[in-house]
Amino acid sequence: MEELEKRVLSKIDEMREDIIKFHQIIVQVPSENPPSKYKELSKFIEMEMNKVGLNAKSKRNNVIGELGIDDGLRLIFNAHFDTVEVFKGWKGDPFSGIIDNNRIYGRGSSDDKSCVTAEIFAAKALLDAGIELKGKLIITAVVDEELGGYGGTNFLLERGLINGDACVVGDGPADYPIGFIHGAIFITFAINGKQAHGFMHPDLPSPNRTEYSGISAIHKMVPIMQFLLDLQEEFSKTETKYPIPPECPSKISSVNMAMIEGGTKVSTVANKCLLHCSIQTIPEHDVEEIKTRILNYVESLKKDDLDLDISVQIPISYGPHFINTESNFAKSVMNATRTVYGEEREFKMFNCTTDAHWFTEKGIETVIIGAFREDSFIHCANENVHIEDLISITKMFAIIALDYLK
Amino acid sequence: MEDIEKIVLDKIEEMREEIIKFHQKIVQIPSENPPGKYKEVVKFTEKAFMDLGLKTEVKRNNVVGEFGNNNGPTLILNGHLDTVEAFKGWTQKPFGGDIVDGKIYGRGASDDKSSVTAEIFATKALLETSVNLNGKLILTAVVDEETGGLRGADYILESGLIKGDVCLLGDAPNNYPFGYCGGNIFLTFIIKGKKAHGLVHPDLPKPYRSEESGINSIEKMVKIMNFLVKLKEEFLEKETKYPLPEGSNVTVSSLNLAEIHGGDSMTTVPERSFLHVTITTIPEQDISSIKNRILEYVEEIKKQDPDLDITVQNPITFEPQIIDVNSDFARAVLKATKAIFNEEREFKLCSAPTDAHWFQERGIPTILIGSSREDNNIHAVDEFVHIEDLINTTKLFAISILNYLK
Repeated sequence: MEELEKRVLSKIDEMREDIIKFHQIIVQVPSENPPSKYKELSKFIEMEMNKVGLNAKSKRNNVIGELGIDDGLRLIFNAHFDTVEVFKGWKGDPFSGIIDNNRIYGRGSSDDKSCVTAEIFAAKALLDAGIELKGKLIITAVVDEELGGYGGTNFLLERGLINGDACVVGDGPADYPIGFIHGAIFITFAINGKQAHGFMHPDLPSPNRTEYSGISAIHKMVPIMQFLLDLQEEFSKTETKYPIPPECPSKISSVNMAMIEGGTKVSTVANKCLLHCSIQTIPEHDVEEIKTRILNYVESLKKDDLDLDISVQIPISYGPHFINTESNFAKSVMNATRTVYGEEREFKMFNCTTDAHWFTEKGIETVIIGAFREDSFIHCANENVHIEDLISITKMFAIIALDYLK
Repeated sequence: MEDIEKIVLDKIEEMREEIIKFHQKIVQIPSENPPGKYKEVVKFTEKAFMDLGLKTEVKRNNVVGEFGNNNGPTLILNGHLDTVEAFKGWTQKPFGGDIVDGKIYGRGASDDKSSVTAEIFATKALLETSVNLNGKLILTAVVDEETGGLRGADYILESGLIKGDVCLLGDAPNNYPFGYCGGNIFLTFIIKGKKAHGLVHPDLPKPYRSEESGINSIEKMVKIMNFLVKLKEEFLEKETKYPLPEGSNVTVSSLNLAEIHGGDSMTTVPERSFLHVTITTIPEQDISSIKNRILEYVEEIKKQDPDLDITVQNPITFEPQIIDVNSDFARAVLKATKAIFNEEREFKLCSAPTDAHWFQERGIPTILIGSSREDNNIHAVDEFVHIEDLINTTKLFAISILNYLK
């Protein structure tokens, strides 16, 4: 291990109690999304970043800090401080930040305030160790990740408030860097039918139709649903060759019919049916091709059925992303894992939606690191983070920056 | 036409203005269901029954009146006081009872206060012309028809409040008596899955499952939906031989996937799904064999899929009913159609569920006579009744009673 790395790591070990205390505090400030009340936490993070010396500013509750010089490479750290709602079933106060069995408990303690804490203390360690970066480090703590990222990461990138050559998104599983990111399609099928009395004017084919006959939006959704089931079956034939982390065991692409709503009354022909689906694809599958196939199928249904009034919305879709394992950035990340974990750890694949795609779409090379494990219960009751993972991830951020911006 | 019929019909013509005024008043009293606030309309109806000199009783907002003797059979007249909600978008006042172009507007003007007005004035005409009736007449104005009838028609029969040999029920299209009723099955399928993160732990087939994998309740519903769609197609092969009312050409049984609800978040595997289905059959269809086929299919897929946690509820089933056209009752009604329309009019097939089945299930032959037409906007905005139809229903009731209790 290099001398500088040692210096930074020992700084982080010295700051251990401060890191824990800081993390407890930000877990204690609710930032559920919805309802998206971020003022208090956003102000606090901005203030803390400024205390560290990161020249922070905030835009629509997104906090941006920086250090280093204007010449050279630009590395972005990204983590989000909005959380999913508390939901029910917690053993104690979901905003306690209490420590039990070497873990810190609370909503957001893992997803994703752990990485907000880690990126700030990584920057602090670099400053405190007197490191002079030969480039710019941009530290972002954003909102809106849990609802898509439009008001968070996307906003910062679209407005040109941040830009970079490489990015570390902290929002992933512990122990391994993620270099292969799956593709995803969020798709909504909306069918308009025609409301009618279900008994007197049912939706029947000619000659059992009149001008009063209904058109059942639910009946017309059935072939779409079957098509999606068939797609899932087809997906089961292709396994990814990329290594998967134990937290995300799926080796194949998957279709999830997440929500369906149709009809309002048991005696009425349903005039509306909405089906919301998410599809996530292994890197071997081409997202655009899947989208085209679905849309073509819908078009073919429309041709065969003039009564079919359907619209398909795709609010989010993004292709898979692969890190170039030979790039300087990938090597810096590899080097950091060796330094922090004492061994070489390969890049894994991740099949969860994060803000990473906002960066990859802009051509910014991105890896994901993080602090969550199966027993971190993210999005569930009793969410927690292992203190060791919090410290390790702080070290990862710091050493990646040190190595990449040297 | 017999003299006595002519006397009664002339009487009704004399009462025309009185009938219209009464109907306007009863339409002006809201009795929407829900919320089911009936006090005022019940008081109004009770007074009308008492003014006729009927032995009147009110039980749980159901108004019952009777008169007559033990020299013959008992005929029940039935109409319902409750209406569907007003809904929005009326161009007329929903509780105005205003007359425009020979039509009385308002919620319930057709469905089904027209039958309540008609039964009262049919009885009044018979009383005022002092015709001799051999037997008993029971007038009923019930509630809860629009939400199933358990607290209305079913309640007064089940509690023994009324007993009768035959029933004339309003709540039907005009111009023809309805002597044939299709069967009905209401079914609800409830599938319980297992909630999980939709992207991390989707519902996948073996060997891609882990302990954490979700079970998608919407996807499991697709098989059921496909089965029901096929059943519906099969129904198309069997046409009824019973005559349909004007404006209808539904000669086959039909199946309506009326409502579906499942899932609560875009990124979650949906835990629960509900599918509400109604089946309306032609009289030739055996109801229990359909029910059995559906339940057997559910059992079969349960055997194939140990993860399938499904419940089937069957809140309402009723068998088709066919009037014996040679019975005294049927002949009395057919003779009445001749007196009013100057020609005998055959019995038609009624496909909408009404309170009729409550009577039919108890072995009480039931014929429907009503005032509604395709253009009446029942269950929609701007509901109205043609004054001529209201008068005709009154006449049909009166002459049918006259002929049956002669």
